[in-house]
Amino acid sequence: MRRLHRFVEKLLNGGRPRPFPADDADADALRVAIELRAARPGSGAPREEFIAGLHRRLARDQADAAPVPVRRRILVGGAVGAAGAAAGVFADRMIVGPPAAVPAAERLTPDIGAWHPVVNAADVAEGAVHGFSAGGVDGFLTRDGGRLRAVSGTCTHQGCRLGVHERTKLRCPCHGALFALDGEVLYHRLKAPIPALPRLAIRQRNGVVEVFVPQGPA
Amino acid sequence: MRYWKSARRGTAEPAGDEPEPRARLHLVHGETYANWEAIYLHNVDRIYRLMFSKVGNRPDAEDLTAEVFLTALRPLRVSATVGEVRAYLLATARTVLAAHWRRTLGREITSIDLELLADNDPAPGAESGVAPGTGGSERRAERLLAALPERYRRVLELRFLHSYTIKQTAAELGLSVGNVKVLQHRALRRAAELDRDDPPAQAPQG
Repeated sequence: MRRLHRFVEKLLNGGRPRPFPADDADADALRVAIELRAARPGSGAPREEFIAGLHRRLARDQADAAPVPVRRRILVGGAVGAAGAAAGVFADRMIVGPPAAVPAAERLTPDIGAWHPVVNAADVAEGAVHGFSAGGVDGFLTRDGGRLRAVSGTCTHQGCRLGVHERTKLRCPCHGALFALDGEVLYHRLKAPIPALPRLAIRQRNGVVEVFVPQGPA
Repeated sequence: MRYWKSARRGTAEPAGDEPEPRARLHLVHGETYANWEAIYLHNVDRIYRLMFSKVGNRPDAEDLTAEVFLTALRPLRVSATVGEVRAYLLATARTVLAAHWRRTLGREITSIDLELLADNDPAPGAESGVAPGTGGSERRAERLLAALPERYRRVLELRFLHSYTIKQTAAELGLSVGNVKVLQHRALRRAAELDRDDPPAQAPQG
């Protein structure tokens, strides 16, 4: 009874219930508990963060799975991309996809691109690596010798999202490629060489670092 | 089962126009999706609501929804029709849910009845905002509660429908915390007995 009670309490307060070996009577009680909990008004809708997060995860997954060369895939992606503005949309945008909640068209000025605030400049200490996602583009902001620099956070091989590795490198979770913080390729075990990470244009305004996300041909 | 085949992502139809918010998508069975993102955006709400109605909590519903799409999207041909995609997603959801219960409680607590879903939800893209198979769940819960003795009904209503904590419930009913726990437990057991006599697949009576 105790474990059943705990399971039901988790359902009631929105947590993840802990598994336990249930008997027939438990199963019947849980079925009813789930049914009643699901009937609570307004509780069945997914969170927007969840929808956007899964969208990004699927985009990475799709990018990994695609057997076509990266160049071609970007073009195909451009043709069918959600933005529909079609060919030549900035490559990173296509791979990552716009967040579901905010259609790209509302955020970016067509043809020109837009500056997106990323972080307060004061919050980026010397040697810090700040990952960001702005306007559908993932990137990393670093400060080296006082100067700020931003590179794309998307692997140039198949578009997987990079992670920070040992605080001084960017590592691709898909095939293990390593990039320096300035975008240079440090290591890969791929048949063909891969290009360095593109630099992203940044500026400081009122103490805030902004990154430029082009919308037209990049 | 053509859409099971792992096909290369070919040249799909261009999306054509601006991406629309999910709620405004209009698609019918015979049409196809522009790309995998359209498949995702058009179906994620439905699949999540379905999963939530089957597990009753957000963390599991999110995990299972993610599993459905991660499993289903890769082998899906973009040229599959809306109806085919939906059927495939639902079949995947059923498998994923069954595996979830096997893994966690060792027995199937809830399941996805594909035939019932097909009957209840003939029009994909309908603006109802109600997931397939969940439309009747609130009515069912009401019916179930109505059949219970007053004290049992009150404790379940307060805790499950009105999000009262045990303490709040105790204050509301003039009971001790321990009594509320016992009452709630008995009420669930009693409701489960009623539920057994009125399984979900059965058509509503009266």
